[in-house]
Amino acid sequence: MLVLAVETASPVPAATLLLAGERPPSEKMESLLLGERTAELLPRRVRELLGLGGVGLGSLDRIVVATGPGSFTGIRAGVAFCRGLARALGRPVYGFGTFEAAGLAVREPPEVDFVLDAGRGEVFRAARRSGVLSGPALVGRAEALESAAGRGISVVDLGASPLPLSWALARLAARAPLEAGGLFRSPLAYGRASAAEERFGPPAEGPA
Amino acid sequence: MKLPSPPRCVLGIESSCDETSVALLGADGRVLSSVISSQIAAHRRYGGVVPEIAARAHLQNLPLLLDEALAAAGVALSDVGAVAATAGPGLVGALLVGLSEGKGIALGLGVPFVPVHHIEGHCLSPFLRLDGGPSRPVPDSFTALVVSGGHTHLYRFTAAGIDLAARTRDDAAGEAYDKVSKMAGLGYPGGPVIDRLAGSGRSGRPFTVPQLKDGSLDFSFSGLKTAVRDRLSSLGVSPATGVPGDRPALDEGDLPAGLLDLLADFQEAVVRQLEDRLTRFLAKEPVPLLTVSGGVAANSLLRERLASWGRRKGVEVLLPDRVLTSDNAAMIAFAGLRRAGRGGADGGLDAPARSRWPLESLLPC
Repeated sequence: MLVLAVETASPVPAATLLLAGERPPSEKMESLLLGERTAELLPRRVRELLGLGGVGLGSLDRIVVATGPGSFTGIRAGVAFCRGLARALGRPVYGFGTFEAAGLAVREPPEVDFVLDAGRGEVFRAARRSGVLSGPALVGRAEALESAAGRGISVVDLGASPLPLSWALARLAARAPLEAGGLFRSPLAYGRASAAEERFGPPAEGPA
Repeated sequence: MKLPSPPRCVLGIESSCDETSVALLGADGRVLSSVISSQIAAHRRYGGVVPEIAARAHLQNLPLLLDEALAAAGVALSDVGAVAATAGPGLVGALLVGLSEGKGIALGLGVPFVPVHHIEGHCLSPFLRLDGGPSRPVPDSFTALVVSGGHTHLYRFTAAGIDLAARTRDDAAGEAYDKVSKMAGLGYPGGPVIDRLAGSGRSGRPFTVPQLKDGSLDFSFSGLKTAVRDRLSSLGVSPATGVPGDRPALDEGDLPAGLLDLLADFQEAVVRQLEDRLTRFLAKEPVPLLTVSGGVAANSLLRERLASWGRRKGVEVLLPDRVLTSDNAAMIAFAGLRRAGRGGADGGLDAPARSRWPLESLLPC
């Protein structure tokens, strides 16, 4: 199975092409940092990646993208691009949270707090306890660090130590049941409301 | 017997501000379908468009609109021969949604992607027909007046390129409508409500049409806005302070005496200024065809008066169907159709989203 994974939510966006064999189990992959101007150059980078792997778009079986939290703009560009590409190719598109990918990328220790900068002195935090991930929640950066230190729990900051998130996304998609594809209707995990909503409340419902 | 395959068509995507739209056009410019989802209700509480809310809504709406547009046109995505999406000017976060989805589709289908200038789309919108017929022929040379919330610009289109003949020095005409509406407590957006109410008033004390000292044809609407504010105070209406609200502050059934006439005076002043600049432009150079487009081109008084101006002056004035005055993907698909095939086959896939992008910088088409 050939999977294309696009991760544009974290501060170090990247894409991975994963060829996963079942019998015998095997894995071959190519990865590419998406670099600057990630959103606008996404099509070019994906073509470069396919070139590295020596495959064409038509060979892709699945496409997967990070649904957040992370960069609002990055999430949208990645999701919209992957959705459009998958639809045109007639392939399923999967979405997994940034911290789900982080959880797979960092297997040890079983107790860890993953954090990702959320701006305004806050972080998105997902806690793994006994191997089970919960969150994400929006908390103050200082509070997140103090509370972890107080409990002797290590902190993995996705911004400070870039993780192979796109590889993890590809693995999650390769293992997912076919029917789990269908990003079109699943909500995104922006992690926080827009500044206007935080100040004035949610948008009004009603006719235009 | 093999049935003839359906003609290849162009998919258009628009997401530059607060309208998400998808359209399909035939190779002859025929509008096969055009669907628009407006977010006006979502932004009303904030008294204007909130970029982050707009971008989120585009992402949510786009796939549903694509389904709808394909179904309404009776075509499959595989029939699409080119994809055009608005690349600017506009809200970058909002633009990126349509641009990215459009690029993904074009890459997946292996068809050209055409980044489109939003204002070129508006300028061309009057050539589209919604009666199922092919688009009207676009001449090499024409003049285009764009009147919207962000623009009051007059452009010359020629075989040599596009240049700017006049522009607003301050507010755009549509912006003046929104600000006046807000000051009068009539809510957001201002265009439709003022159009409706002004129709019941009588313009008796018209505001002066501003003339710039340098003799330029540029427009100006900020003085008009201030004059309206002064007149509102004299009517006992305290201009709202810009605090967002879900509901208009005034009850339309119980408006202060004189407000309807004031709104009629305001509309009259906007239209007179447009007529004045067009007349002076016409005195300098011939205008065989004028397109008038943008949100304010939906205004009843403007449509009536500029059509009549054209008849008097011997200028063919083309106004878009009202549905096509607001932001829409049909005009984007049409601009894309005309530009498809220019330059590299897929150079457009690298196109950035641009908040600013002078129309004059475009190559002739």
